[in-house]
Amino acid sequence: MSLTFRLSVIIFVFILIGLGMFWLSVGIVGKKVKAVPFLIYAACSSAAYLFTIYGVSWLFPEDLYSPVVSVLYSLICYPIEAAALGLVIRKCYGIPFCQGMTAAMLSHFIIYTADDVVSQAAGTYSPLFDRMYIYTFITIVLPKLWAFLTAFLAVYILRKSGFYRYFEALFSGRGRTALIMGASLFLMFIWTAIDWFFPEAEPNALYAVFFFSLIAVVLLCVQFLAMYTAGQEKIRMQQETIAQQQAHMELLEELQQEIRAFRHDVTNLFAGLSLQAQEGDLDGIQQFMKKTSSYFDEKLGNEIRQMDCLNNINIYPVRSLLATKLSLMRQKHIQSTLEVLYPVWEKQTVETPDLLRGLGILIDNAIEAVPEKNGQIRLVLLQEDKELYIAVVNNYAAEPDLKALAEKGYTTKGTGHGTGLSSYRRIMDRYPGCIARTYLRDGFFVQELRLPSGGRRPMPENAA
Amino acid sequence: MIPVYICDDEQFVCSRLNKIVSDQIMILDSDMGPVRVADTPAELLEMQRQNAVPAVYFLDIDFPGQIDGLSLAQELRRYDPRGFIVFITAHCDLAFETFRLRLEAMDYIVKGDFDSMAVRVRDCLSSIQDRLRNEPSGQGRYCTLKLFDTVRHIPLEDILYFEALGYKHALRLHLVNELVEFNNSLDHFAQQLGEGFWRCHRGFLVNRSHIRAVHLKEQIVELDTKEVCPLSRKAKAEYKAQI
Repeated sequence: MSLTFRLSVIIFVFILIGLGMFWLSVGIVGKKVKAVPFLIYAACSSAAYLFTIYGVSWLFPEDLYSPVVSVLYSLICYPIEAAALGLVIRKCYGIPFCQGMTAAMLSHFIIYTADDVVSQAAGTYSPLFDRMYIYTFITIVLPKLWAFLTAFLAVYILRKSGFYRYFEALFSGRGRTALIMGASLFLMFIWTAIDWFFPEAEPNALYAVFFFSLIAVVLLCVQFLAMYTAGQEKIRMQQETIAQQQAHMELLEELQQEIRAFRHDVTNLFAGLSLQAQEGDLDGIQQFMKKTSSYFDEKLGNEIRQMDCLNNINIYPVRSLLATKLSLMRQKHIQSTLEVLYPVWEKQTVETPDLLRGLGILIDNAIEAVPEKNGQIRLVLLQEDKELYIAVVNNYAAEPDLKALAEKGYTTKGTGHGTGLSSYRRIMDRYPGCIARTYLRDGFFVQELRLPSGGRRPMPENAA
Repeated sequence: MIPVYICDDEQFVCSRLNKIVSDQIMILDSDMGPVRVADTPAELLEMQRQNAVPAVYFLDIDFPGQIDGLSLAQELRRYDPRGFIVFITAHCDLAFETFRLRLEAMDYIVKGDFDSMAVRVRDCLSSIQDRLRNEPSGQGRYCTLKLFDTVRHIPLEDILYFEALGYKHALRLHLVNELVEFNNSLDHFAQQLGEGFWRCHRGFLVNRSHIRAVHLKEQIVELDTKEVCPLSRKAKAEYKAQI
């Protein structure tokens, strides 16, 4: 065979396998395939392969095809390739490294299984051709094509089922992360292990069926596990939402009772007033007006204003989160103000769960920091053309130490409380373009978040 | 002289405020003035561009059918980031916290009887005067920070150091009593700020005037706020060579 043919086959196989791996991994984490990350990954992994081949042939110059060498080769290359892919996914898509690497290892397993089974079968069953070209085509090119197709199909299924949403849930704890990574590492090396322990295994139809069902079972197991954990998470979230809505209801009830009391007062006051009017006591009436003009505002103003502001927030989970926190503040006798000057759009660049988490922690920090007596918290949400501006302002018992705050896990109240600035770390990491500002002014501690608002301002419903 | 503007669509309020403000400036004997009155936001913006900044602005909150006070103030801030904005409002339930945080508005004055307005105006003007007196005369250099479509000018002496956070070009700017996190590159600021700042580490850019000591052995740079930045081997070698 000519060198050009060999080279082109090798390059073709490299590209096909690389593209398949990349496509599948990106599909598992639920992102779009982009050219630049793929090229980076391809460069990294081919460099790793070339170096390893070079290194191995230098170490064992005589027996290049012995089992030890091939095991050594897999042990070095596979993790490097997976790690490279994990890093590329982290860098270009902002997905945590563990998830990226696990996705890479899983895709490695799927692709190599598909490839191995078909190439072994082809090697065994294909009639012996006198033309090497066709033989190469059948034993090398065809299986790789098949592996690529399998990857393509798997990605299609994963995308259809919205797998990436569940995939993330698998990494919610340290133990879980370790378990899933260990399992995928094992799967990645399963072929190496099989080759090592059963070198004479004869491929047959049963064997192929077994391995294809293995792929299916593994995919199914991962999917089921992920769906289960995600389901648990969902139940927890729903419980939280119910609690928040209850708090909102309580606020409404409170308001209603106050209105009832107010109505009672007003009836009495007006009875007195009409008496004064009958007597023609103009001075008395004027004094009464002066006294009562601010009465309504004092009595109901704050609640009604807060309700108005809450109604301005069109992201319902955020609305109920704020309602809960405001009622918590009322319970703790913290004087609270909420200002939402313009309607907050429903569509934000930052996804609602992340927004809830960040905002929730900021408010919790504020509630923790206020002094026992005369605590004050002010919340501001301001929707602008290009950004959503959020500020949480509180007074404090002990002056927060900003330089300690910058370090991870800072809190004034022992372990388990507050997470300092790492609270909005997650948002900052995930969405580039956010701005966070923390400062002290006039006895108040101010935490500001400015989040980009994607898209255009939604048209008002009754636009004239 | 620092110009003073009054903008309200009610003639009555304008003339009354004009009187109060002029009187108080006389009493305080400050270098504020002249007092100019604008009936519409457009007129005010026109005036602002023709005169000096910083200035003092007394603004109404709503102008029916025109831009609201917030947008007007944002527009004014674009030309006058250091000006003093005071809002005038008919009702006391205005969202002042928003204005204070977002626009660094100073205060608000409720339209009401003459005497109480006069007291508020006097308080505002005297605190403006204090601030102007304490402020450096504008000779100091500033670091410009573009955040979304607003530009912030930070006096260089307030900056302690810049810190790069992991990947994706996230920076944390440490100021006296303030932390700002945003996306930019250290190289950009190293270039903008020049000699007054020292790249003591790949991820740190320190204001030289805040350095208290450089500990060569521990490989740290200590600032006068007791904060420390790491010192890289490369920077250490450069530092030694300079001495």
